[in-house]
Amino acid sequence: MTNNVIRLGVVGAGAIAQRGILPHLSQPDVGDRVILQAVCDPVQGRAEAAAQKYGVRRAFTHYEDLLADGDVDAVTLASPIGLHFEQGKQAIQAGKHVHFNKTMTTTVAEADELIELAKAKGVKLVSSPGEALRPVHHKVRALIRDGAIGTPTWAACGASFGTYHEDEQFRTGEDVLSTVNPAWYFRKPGGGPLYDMTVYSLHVLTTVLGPVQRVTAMSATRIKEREFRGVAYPTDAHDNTLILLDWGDGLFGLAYGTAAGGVAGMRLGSYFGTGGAIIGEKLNGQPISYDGYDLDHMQPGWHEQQWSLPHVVGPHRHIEEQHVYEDIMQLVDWVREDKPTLATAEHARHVIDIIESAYRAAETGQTQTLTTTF
Amino acid sequence: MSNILKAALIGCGSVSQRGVLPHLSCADAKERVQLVAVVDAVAERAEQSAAKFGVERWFTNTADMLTKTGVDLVLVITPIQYHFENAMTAIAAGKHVYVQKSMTATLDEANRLLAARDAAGVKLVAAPGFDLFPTTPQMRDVVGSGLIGKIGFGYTYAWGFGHEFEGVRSGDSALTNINPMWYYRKGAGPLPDVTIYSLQLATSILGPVRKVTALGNKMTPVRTWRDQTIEIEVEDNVVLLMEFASGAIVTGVGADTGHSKRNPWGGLGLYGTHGSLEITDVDSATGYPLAFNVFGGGGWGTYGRAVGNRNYAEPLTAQKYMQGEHLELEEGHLYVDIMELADAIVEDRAPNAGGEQARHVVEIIECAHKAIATGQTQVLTTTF
Repeated sequence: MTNNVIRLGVVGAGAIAQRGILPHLSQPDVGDRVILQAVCDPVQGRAEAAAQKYGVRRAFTHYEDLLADGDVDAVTLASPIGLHFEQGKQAIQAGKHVHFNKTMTTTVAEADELIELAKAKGVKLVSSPGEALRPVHHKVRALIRDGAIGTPTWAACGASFGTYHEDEQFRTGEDVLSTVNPAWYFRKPGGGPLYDMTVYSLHVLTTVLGPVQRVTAMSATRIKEREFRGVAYPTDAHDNTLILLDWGDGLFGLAYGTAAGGVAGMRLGSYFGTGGAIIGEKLNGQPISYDGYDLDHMQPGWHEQQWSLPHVVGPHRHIEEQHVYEDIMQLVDWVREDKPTLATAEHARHVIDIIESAYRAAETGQTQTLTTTF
Repeated sequence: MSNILKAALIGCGSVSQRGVLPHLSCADAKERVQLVAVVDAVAERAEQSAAKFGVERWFTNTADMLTKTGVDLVLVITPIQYHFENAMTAIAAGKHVYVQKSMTATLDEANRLLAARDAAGVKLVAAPGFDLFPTTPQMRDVVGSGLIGKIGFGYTYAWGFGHEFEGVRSGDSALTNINPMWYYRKGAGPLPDVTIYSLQLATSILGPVRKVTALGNKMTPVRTWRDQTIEIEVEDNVVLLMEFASGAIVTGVGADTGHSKRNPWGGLGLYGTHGSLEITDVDSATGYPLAFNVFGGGGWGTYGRAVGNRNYAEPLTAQKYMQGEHLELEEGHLYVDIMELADAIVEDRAPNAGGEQARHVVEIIECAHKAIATGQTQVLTTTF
């Protein structure tokens, strides 16, 4: 750190880096806290092109070079999920603070190792998605605790792949920055809608209802082949998973990550009880008011409850992926000012436990008891 | 100093009758700013204004008022040609000043006025302060965020000019026979009267301008009001072109033409490499943009897709002073500007809608008139 400004390395110059991380962190208003020190990407020329476009000081093709020679204090891992564990481990060993884009790792064992190693090395880990930072979820939690829906009976949430990643921005263009291949989303390890999308829902449900005790699931690969720019890619990551969740004392939940179709919101769950229901942002059909409601409702376009996040001000309200920017700034504040965050590696590990246990339950036919909490 | 400021109003013409006096007569305004004197060169008008709006004292001369009345701030609402002289007199007496648009008739006056302000250590606000309504910083943030890419070109739009037919000019009393002919004399014209709204708004969003050029002519060379006729001294049909420091090239217009059915008065459109920003609704009483749309596409092909189609909107009540009775009155933005000055005085901070931007806009107008006269593009000397 020089002059208390975090020198950040961006690992991967793909869709999330270009759509969110680089545009946000190249805004002048954050320059007193964090600067774009380095970017790396294994695709020839992509890191250089991104560095030039967003004013990043250094560009690397190899991650190891960024860690060794990049003069970074922290990294944000914007690489395919299956690479997060190894890259996170290398960063921690090099004494760097780490922000993980979702999902932090694919297994609890990996998450345990990173959390222990970070403690030993004295570095900080922040993991996306920082759903626990959103005021709306805390209001829903308080409403349910105070009996607004009577005795809660069950909850539901989930997300569907569709062809979101095939059609995404920065994948369908012509130059090195806009031809980012999404095929990893359909392959193990780290592919599939659970690690990519349902992870938001699970962070939401656990923020509202607390840690889960048991899970069971059915899971398969429904779509065997995906096409991107005229090339067929065989898929092996499961793209169709239905999970049953047990919070104990008979309170259950359903979470899904499917190839297509859905019944609940990805970011706002549904909660049912003997006295009514909270569906999305409504309690028995009436809007729920919470700190930041007015700000969230000023946000045009998709209604994503992002303007109520504390760092999403000024120009950041008009750049995509505001929650990713928020999570990175949580790490920045934590390192600079020792302000801890709710976007913890422990919460992420519990959600990873749900996903990993769901896959194991589907494979073995046995309901799994979770070993983690947060 | 108590939190209730004492103020004097200079100029009891149209804008004061329709806007400033009614707004400052509202109960909530009196809790912040108490009008204790009015000044007008026409004695009857000053006297009748004081009587009608319950102001304690009236004068026909600013210097006289300043020696006989203890006020904290002075509101200069005279014809544009008299802004400088009155504002300088007030500053020399150590008063904070609000100056109605446009701040001065020339850049030289603006330079001297700001120097006097700084030397006296008083605060100055110049109308119209678009930054005081939340859509303006939002539009600036949209542009600054890079969402619609680098801005190439844009337009501003504010038609209309001409004051002979206003209600306050067609009656028989001192409050309704107000002479509009100064609008057609040197120092006025459509640019500092009407186009200035567009120029303030565009510079609030895009920042300073580096070059100006313009074409202009006299569309209605002779104006008649009652039994008076005047050959207008300033072009009343002007299109100007501004190149901003950012590279954006934007038009402005000042012409007494018919209205548009589709484009709101006071609107603006900006077009960038990734998409566009267009004002879709403007409050006609204040000129505040109530809604704008951001639309992606074109330019660098797929890059604009993330912009989508976003509608931003704010109710007029999003401005904290545009509440209750004020919503029913004309010229609400003047009231907001005055309250901003009052807040800045009480909180002892620099006011928003400060003089530097107003000076830059005065220079844009001066450069447009020079460009019309000489056919030469003008390079600006000021920034903000």
